Amino acid sequence: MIKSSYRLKQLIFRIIRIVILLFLAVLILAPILWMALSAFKERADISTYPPTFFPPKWTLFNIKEVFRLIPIAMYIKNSVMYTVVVTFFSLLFNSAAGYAFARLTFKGQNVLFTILMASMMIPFQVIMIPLFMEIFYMGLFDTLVGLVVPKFAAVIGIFFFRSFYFSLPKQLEEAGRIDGLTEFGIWLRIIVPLCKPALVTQAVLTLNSCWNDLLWPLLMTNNPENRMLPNGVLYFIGQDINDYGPTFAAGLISLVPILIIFLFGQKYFVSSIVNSGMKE
Amino acid sequence: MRKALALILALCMILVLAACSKSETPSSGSDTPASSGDAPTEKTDTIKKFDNPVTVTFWNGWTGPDGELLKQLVDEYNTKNQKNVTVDMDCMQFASLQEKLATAIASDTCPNLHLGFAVGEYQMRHIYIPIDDIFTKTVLRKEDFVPEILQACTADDGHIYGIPFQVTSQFVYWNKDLFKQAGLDPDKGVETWEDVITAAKAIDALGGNITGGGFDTSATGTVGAMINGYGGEIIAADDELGYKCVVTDPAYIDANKQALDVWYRYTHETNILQNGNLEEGYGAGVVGMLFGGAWQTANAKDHNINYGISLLPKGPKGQIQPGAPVSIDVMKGTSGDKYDACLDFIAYWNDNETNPIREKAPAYDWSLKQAYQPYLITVANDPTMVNDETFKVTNEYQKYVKNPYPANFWNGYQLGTAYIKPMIEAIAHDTATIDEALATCQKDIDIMIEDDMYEMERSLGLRE
Amino acid sequence: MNKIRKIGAYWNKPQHAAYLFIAPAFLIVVLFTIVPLLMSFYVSLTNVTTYLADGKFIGLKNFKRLFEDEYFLNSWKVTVLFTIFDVPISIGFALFVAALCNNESKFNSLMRSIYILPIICSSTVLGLTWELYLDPQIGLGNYILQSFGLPKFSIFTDISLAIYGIIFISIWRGFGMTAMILVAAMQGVSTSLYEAAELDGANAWHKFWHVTIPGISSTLWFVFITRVIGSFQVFDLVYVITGGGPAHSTETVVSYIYDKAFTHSYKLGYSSAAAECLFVVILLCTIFLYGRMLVGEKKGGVDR
Repeated sequence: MIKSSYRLKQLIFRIIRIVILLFLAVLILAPILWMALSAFKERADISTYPPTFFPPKWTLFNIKEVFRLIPIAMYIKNSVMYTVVVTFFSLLFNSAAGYAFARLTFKGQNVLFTILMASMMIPFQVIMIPLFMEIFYMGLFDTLVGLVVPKFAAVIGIFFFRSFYFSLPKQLEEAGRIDGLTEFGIWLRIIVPLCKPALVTQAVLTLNSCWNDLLWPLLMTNNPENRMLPNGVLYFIGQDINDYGPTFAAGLISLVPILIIFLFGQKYFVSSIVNSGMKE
Repeated sequence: MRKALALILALCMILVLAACSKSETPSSGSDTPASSGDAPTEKTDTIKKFDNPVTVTFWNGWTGPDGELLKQLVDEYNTKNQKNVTVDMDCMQFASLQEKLATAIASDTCPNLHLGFAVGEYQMRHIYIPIDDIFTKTVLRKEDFVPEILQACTADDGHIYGIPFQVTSQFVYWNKDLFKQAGLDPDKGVETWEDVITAAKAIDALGGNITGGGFDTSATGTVGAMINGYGGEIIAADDELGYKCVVTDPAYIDANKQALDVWYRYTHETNILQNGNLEEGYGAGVVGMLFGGAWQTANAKDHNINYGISLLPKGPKGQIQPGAPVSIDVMKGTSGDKYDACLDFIAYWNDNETNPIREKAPAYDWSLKQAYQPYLITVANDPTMVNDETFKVTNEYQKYVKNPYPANFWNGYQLGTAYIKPMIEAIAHDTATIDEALATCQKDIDIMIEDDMYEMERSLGLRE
Repeated sequence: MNKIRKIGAYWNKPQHAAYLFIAPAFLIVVLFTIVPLLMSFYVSLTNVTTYLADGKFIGLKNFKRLFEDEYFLNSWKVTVLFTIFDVPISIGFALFVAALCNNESKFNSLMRSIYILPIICSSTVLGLTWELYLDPQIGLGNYILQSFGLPKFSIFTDISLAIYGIIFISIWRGFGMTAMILVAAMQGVSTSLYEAAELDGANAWHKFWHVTIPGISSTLWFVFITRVIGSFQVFDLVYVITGGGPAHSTETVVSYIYDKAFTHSYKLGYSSAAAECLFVVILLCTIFLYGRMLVGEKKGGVDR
């Protein structure tokens, strides 16, 4: 008797939970889906009254326009390369630094961390000109090194990893040291595997910020052949008139690769939790 | 730690100082000896084929539908020109361009060509270089251009710092069907600002989702035309200081107030729409009137709107039309062959009679297809242009050109969005009375003139 | 040989190895963020332009001018208003959502993927989409709201609504990301703790409050501090959607800074001075929060 009322309560709770989550999903999806569907509308159907959700007449015109007018394949290639390189190194450097700040004690720990934190507090637009001049005088302007290396470390990433490593049990390193692992080995063999969810989360965050990074690649490269996707997406937004159809189409095209990566990441995210033994 | 910090700081100082103390003598292309003695009216092209290929870079913010045609016309030049020149064009979104240009100017890595709003300002900062010899080196002649428009590309020092590229005036578009439904004369449109209010009210009364009027508050030209139409002024020339703000000047305050009162009534008595996606609403057929550039014709046609077009409404002082040009300019650091190549490209763009590459100048296509007002006399008089329905109306604008600021006022572009827009928005949303809004505007522009202009002029050694 | 081993042993000590771990990231941050930051301190004492021409040392003049500028003070009001609404709502909401969907199931994982979508889109395209979507005349969103009986409203051009429109979109865009981070942290909380709590007869609420929250406290602090910093620096949505208008009502501090350096004037010195003020305020906030965090983490680190 008690058990069945408990079940009923659980069932109601579950239904409420699902309803709330679905409602939120609709709220999030509506404008994005509308944008995606508008990419398949004719110009006159994007702005019309009463507004429509589904295209009254489907067309691939906007998608074709994007491929016709901008070298989007080249943009995607550049963006993928930039994103992959930066994500790989920033995960490596940030997680290593985060590990040190969370799990090791050393002289000047708080001072160094405060210095790092301080550098988060100024908007990029302000340091943009001095930073550019610095890179210019270093001779790195319009080079691959100048483009990617400054992005290899981000304080927010260090901070993020620090928070995650912090909640792991303290005995882990002791066990590693007893096993004769080096400090580097402890980090790589014991800590990193335990933090796969954190790594995947941070990877998605970094991927996404690189993928949508408009200003930095534009500032650091001079050759139009080195331009990346965000620049292409904005191509159809004019000074006086916007070409909404192709803009939405380009937005949609740029969304697809990162979406695939993300869905893949989610899968990995799940399996890594199952395998890591955290849930046992 | 402290040592390291000191070291970093020292490095910074060196970098900053190095950056600040950069010499700023313009490496002007006009230093190259011009072939003297040519009669200016004779059309001769003195730029010969270059021995080695010359590539010039060209940055602009012309994305969107404009960018497409621009790219086509540049490609045509690249494939067909006989002078071994390649124009390497890079279109960026306007805001990104501003940022990239700032870093390029700071590091002396400017492109060779640029499309800009700010001849005055960039000339003062020696970012643009004078190109007077374009009239001796290429087939272009001063007489080819509408004089007022060319004048706006000429700085106070008498030199020409750019060739007009595009002129945009503002017009009224109305929806004839909605006018008919509201019992208004669909063919007459609106003649005065009072008519605008009356018409907007009548169309609002149709109910449903229909709105009478739309207004883009960042369209400085239209606001300026309204104020000037009532006899008001915003900036005036000043003997002593060059320019001064006259928004609350006794000579103009009454007229300014009268104009803003019309704006007040327009925003308070009608369901006027501001900014946002006005042209989309107009395209959807639910907005009665729209103020915009002539490119709105394409928008109306795409959506099958039964549209009417006319010059802006008149004030008691008559018809006023804005018309500030965008110019194509040569940037600092360009010299020798590159400079000549830039001139050759500009000549290609504007040579409407003897163009070796195409029948008509690209400037002709630019006007006709993108609906910008012509600045070349031959383009304006072209039969196709003269017989075109839209241009018949819009070309009239030339007779009434007056901008809300003097031709060489070098913060003209900023003036609108930074000071006039907030002023009329404050009035529309009742956060300030007309008097207060005018006073704020006067104060802010005074500060701007004092700070941005005079301080800059002083530091450039142009003033005391 | 012996020497090499000695060096190896030296750097293998945890307190020394730490420097090797932080060195690459720290060097990059110092070189490409701290150095320009220090340069911008110096720039704020000059009247140099964005083009780095004709700069003169003018002392604290820029700061004096700043505090006389009512628009600067206004931009602070707007930013603080934004932060007050954005930070608690978005984090509270994200925590709620994370609690609802942190268990692994296909449905939850799908929901999480959907919530993350807005952050994947570029902010420019999102801005355009929302502008058109909520257009009072032809926007689908507005149309739906009107069909529920709401009056027609133009959220981004109404002086009293515009900032709330920006806040809404900021929360809409960001909560999924925050929720995802919190879910990742929740998944890291050891299951044995929950089992222990269950043995003590704790209900779901108790488990959430006494096991989950302390277990993820360091991540919560991370989310909180970065969100505060992010809110103080809000710019891109404002820039795309309203450009600071109407009549300065959505002009945040960073919009103001940007405006002075890139749009309406090119006074890098002056705008750097404004940025220094922002820097100091965020720094004070963060030092305060960071202190709290260290205390909180000591308490929250349950099974250490």
